Amino acid sequence: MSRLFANAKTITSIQPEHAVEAGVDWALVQRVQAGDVRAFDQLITKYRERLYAIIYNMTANREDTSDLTQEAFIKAFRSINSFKGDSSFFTWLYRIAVNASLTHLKRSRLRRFFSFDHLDEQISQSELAEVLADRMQTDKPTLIKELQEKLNEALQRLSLTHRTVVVLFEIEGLSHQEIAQVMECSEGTVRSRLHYAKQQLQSYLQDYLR
Amino acid sequence: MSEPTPHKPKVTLEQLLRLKRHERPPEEYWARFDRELNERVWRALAQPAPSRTSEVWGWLGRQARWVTVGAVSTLALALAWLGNSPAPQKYAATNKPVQVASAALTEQASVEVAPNDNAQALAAVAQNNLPAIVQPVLAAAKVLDSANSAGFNKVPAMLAFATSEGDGVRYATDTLSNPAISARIRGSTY
Repeated sequence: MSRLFANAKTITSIQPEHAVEAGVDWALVQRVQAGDVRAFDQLITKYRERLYAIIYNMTANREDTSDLTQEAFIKAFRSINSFKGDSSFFTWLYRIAVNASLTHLKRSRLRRFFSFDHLDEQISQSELAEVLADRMQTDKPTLIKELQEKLNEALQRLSLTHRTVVVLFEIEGLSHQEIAQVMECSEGTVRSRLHYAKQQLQSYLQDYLR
Repeated sequence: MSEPTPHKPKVTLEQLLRLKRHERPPEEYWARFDRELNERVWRALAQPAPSRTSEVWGWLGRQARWVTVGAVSTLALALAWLGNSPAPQKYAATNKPVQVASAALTEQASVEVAPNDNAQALAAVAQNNLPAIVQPVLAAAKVLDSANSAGFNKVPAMLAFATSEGDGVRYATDTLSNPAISARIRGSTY
C-alpha cells in the first residue's frame, strides 16, 4: 500500500503527460521484474530515441552515443529489480543515461572529437533557417551546416553540469522538477545552472542572436 | 529623413537550441540498434550480474593510488611486525592441519589449512568471503610467499583476522601495528 502511495505521489508531482507515461511504465517494469523480458523491449522502443538524444547532445559524437545508449539500457535492465517505483521510470532511466555520459566524458576528456548526426530536411524549410540565412548572407545548406557545428561547439564549451541542464530543459523539454530528480539536486540549483548556462550560450552564439 | 528599416524577427537562444531536436540518426539506424541491443541484452541475461568482487576490483582500480599507498603501508607494517615476533619453527614442525576460523570464514565454513599450505590458498578462501578487505593484505601475502620468509606461517592468520573484522585496509593496518591484537592473532589462530 505504501508503495502505491509513493508511486502515486511521484506521478502527481510531474508533468501531466508524463504522469500517464509513468503509470504505463510502472506496469511494464513490474512485468520485467516478474521475469517477462519482452516487456523490456517495449521500454526500449519507447525510450531509445530520447535516451539517444540526451547522450548525443551531451557527447556530440554519434559513435559513442550508440554504444552509450545501449550500455544505459543494459545497465537499466540489470538494475531493474532495484527500481522500486519511488520515482518515475523515465527519470530513473534518464539518470542512468546522464551518468553514463558524464562518466564517459570525464574519462575521454583528452581525446574528444565530434561526429554529428544527420539534420532532417524539415529544418531547411523552417522560417528560422530563412531568417538566419538572410541575416548571415549565406545559402541555407551552408548556414545549416555551420549552425549545427556552432551549436554543438557552444554546448561542448559548457561545463558538464551546465550542459546537462540545458540539454534536459531546452532540448528534451523536461521540467525543472524532473531535471532535479534526474540530477539529484534541488530545483533552485537547476534554475541557477540553467540561467548561467544560457548566459554563456548567449555570448557564444551572439552572431546568430543579433 | 532615413528610410524605415525592414522588420527583422528576433532569433532567440531557445529557438536555436530547439534546432538540435532535428539532429537524429536516419530511420534505418534503429533496426541495427535494436538488433545489436537485443544481442547484448540476451548476452547479459546469459551472464551473471557483475559480482560484488568485480565491483570492488573496479572501485579499487579507480582508487589505484590509494590502494597502492594502503598496500605498501600494510606490507611495511607486516614486515616490521614479522621481524619483531618469535621465530615460527614450532608451527612448521607439525604436519597436523590447523583450524583457521574467523567470523567471516565461519559464516561459510571453517577452513583447514596445513601449516605448509600456500598463503594464497587461504587468501583465495578469504577473498571469496570479504574481498574488499583482503586485497591489500593479499598483496603482502604474495610478497611474503614468494620470498618464503620465516614469517610465512603468520600470513594466513593475518589474512583471516583482517577479513574477519571489517573496515578494510585501515583496520588491517591498525591491527598489525597493535601489539595486543597481534598477540590475539597469534593466540587465536595457532
